[in-house]
Amino acid sequence: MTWDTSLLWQFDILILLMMVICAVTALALEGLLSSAIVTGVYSFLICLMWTHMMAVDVAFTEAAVGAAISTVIFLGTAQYINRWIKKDRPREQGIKQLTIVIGVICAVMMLTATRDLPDWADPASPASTHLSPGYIAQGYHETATPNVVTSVLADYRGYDTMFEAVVVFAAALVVMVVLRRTSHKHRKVLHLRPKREGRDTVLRGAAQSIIPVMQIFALYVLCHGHYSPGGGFQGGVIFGASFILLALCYNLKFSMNRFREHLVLWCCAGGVLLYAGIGAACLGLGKNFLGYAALADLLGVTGKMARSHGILAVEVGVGITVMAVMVSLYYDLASGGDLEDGL
Amino acid sequence: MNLEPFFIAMAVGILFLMLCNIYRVVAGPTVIDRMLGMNVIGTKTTVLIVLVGVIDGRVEMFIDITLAYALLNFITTIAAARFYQRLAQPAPPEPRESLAVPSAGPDLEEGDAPAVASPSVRKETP
Repeated sequence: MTWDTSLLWQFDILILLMMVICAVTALALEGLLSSAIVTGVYSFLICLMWTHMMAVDVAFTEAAVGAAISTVIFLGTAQYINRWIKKDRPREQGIKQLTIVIGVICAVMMLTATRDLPDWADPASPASTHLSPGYIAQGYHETATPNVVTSVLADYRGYDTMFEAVVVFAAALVVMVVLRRTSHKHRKVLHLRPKREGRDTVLRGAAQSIIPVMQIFALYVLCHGHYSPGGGFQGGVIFGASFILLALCYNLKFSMNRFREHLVLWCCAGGVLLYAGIGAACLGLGKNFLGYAALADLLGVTGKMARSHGILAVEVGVGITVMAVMVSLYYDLASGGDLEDGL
Repeated sequence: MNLEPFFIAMAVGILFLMLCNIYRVVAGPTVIDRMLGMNVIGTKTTVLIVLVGVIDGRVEMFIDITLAYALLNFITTIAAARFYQRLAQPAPPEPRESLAVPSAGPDLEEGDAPAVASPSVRKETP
């Protein structure tokens, strides 16, 4: 008896059913904490879906971003704004209904558009006939990188990834510009926030044992992106999550003493600068921007290996930026901008 | 012996168990029910990803993802618990305008104070 594992319909239908339930529930629930939790469950399910579709790198990103960081940032924001929300205000009810109308319109438009999309794993779709075969056939021979996703991400599509890193950097900057306040303005808001009680002995012990493992794992994910799913984004998110865990288990001040705000900002900018700097170095050495083969003479290796090393270097840049941006977002959002006390 | 049907049956079974947890997350009367439901769903997701890897015969690809999940699921639960901890604590009495900035120093300008305090003032007036 043979099983066509790519078309395990029981699996898909169950996951999709649960995803729809979660999405509707997240909108319908009262209370931001419950909604954030249901959104977290949704992210688990969609990661499962991507795993099942063999989009392993995407699933890894979702695992890193969706399971931890986005929910934590939701919660951090929610605990800051929670006190200022008044329930059953008619204007907000109206906005909620307007959101539902907009959501339904978007859903109808998207469902209409899905008819034009190619089937799942359709070998006749344009992506499978024009672009992918070239990458799959030449990727390893040209870049010495077995994971074709990494070579496409950081080499063939290096521009896209560079500007993704810039977008991430811009997100941190915008959050900082909007929220960050100088220290003397916050005092009144600070009084509204209850002090955390208790000694958290178990939590701190767990954090002490888990954080070094997490950081080493993050570095492994970053460096091993050539051979397995992973890379700069995922490794950076996991590394940033370790600082967020520190802030959660101790407090924001404790985490900020280890990773100070100005250092976070330097890392945010430095990662992007490293990426763009490598591109510019390639330009200076007489090849295209981000054409890593130009580094071959400098590194003393063949052009193929130079592209592999170039991919690693830009992944490190992406990792530094993403790590610092995650930490910066948490610092600003969870403390409401005054950096006194977080979640 | 071909174990694939066994693994597939196991994956579908775990998915059904996940459905039970989804019920708890959706219906759960208290927030704590939802938090626990989410935590259990995270654990089940970890197992399911390994099972998908076993079914496809490329389990080494999926181990990293499950490790990331196992590490990061912990953070979400702690964040939710912290949020709940603050929610459960009674809010301290709101400070009066004059008491709020006793040591702000001379560099606090007059224009700054109402801008920051306005949300709390708005809260008192319906």
